[in-house]
Amino acid sequence: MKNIIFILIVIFSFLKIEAQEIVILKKEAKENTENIESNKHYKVPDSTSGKFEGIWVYNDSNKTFKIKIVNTKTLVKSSGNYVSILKGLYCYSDINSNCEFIDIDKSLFYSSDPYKLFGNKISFNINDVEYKKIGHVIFELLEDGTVKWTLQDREGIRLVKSDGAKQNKGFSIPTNVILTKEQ
Amino acid sequence: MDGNFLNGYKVVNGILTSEYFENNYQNRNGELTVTTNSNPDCPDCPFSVCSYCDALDEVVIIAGGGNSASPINYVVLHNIFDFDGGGNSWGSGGGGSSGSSGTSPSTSDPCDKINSLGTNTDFKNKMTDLKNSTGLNYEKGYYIGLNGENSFTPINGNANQPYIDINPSSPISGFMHSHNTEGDSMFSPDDIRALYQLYDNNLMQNSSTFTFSVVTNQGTSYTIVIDDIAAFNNFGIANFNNQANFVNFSNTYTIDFFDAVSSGYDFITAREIAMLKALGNSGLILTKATSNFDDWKKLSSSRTNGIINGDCN
Repeated sequence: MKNIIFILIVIFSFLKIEAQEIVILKKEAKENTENIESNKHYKVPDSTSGKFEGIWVYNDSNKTFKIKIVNTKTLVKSSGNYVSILKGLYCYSDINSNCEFIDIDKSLFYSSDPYKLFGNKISFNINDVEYKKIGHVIFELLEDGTVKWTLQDREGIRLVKSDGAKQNKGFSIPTNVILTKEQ
Repeated sequence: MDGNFLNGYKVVNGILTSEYFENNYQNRNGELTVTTNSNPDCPDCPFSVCSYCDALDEVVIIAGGGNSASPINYVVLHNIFDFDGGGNSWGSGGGGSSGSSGTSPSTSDPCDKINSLGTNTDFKNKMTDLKNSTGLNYEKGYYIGLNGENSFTPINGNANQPYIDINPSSPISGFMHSHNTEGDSMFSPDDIRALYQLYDNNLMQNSSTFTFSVVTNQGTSYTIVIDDIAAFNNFGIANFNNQANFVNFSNTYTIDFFDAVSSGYDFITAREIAMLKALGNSGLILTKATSNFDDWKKLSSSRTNGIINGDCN
């Protein structure tokens, strides 16, 4: 009997997965809906998000700064939907050492609306682990195939600590550089 | 198992009744050594080793003690342990603090406060001033009650910066600010964290009547009030007391916004949906004003994830 129940659960699980509808977003935002439906998978065309994906690099005489961006199918826990959303990791190291994406806290998370992906300028939240703050990245794809990387403070009220110490000024990583795509 | 004794607590029927602290019970190395399970000879002792109760002083905790009138009958991990080097908020023998001992008693109904905003001329005038300032290249704000009851003390951000550093010299009764052209139509995650930090740093005169408002360049304006201070305390500890949790809070809000926009909602409604989800179980009430600030409605999620504007009561 237990085996039958187990098999039925497996079958229904597959049916549920198959019932998930992939919704390819178009450039023009659709009209308002009356509710957020569940079991949808929202994504833009792969070629639309793909132009931002990959490993992007900036080098100067002392340091290497790398960004790795991937499109990830992610569960929206509150609705039961999935969205394909850009996420990333960064590394920043001396030029003579390996810049590797080994610290998962050094992360980026897409922060624009989905329709911005059809353009060339998107934004991310980035977790500056060293300065313990979240920054706002403007990630602009230029005509020559490079990316203009601009890192700024985020919007918000910030309480100065009781000892008078403000939040760290600036960031521990580059704030205004041109990134090239690693081949 | 070897370890250092820090603090002990006794809970009866869900009520925190006692705190235990060390009373010169140390071995040669200055450490306690736990070696056995509970001793049946000392059923009244809550610890696994009888001698702990002989060697430890007991402080009876009266719920609602300390400087807070809120009947806190539980203890949260943040108050016991020293997170981020900030020290715990329990003075030995004090007890009952919720981490915001300077916050005044919760004696008023937050909805009464919300419903009175529409007839508060001073408040509406300052909101109108902020509304007329959303085209500036900096954010404007006002401390409420910093220099006397119903006073509004300006505090502005820097040009071309999307934030305001605030540092009230004494507890305030509210705070309002603008989002300029670069800003979103809703409170930002950093705004919500600041609200909690004001509470956590004893900078609210009265948590139940504290108002936290924003006016945005998109024509929206919102005020948050605290309906359940215990829930808000737990919410803040869960989301804002370390960087990793705040990153998760922020990313979850972002992905809920992304989902709502993908589903077809306009950006303003999508941010309302995402913020309501972010504030789930926070003890906070999110309200939205009409354009002239005459009327404030409580926002709630509908069964189908839409937005309901309702009375605050």
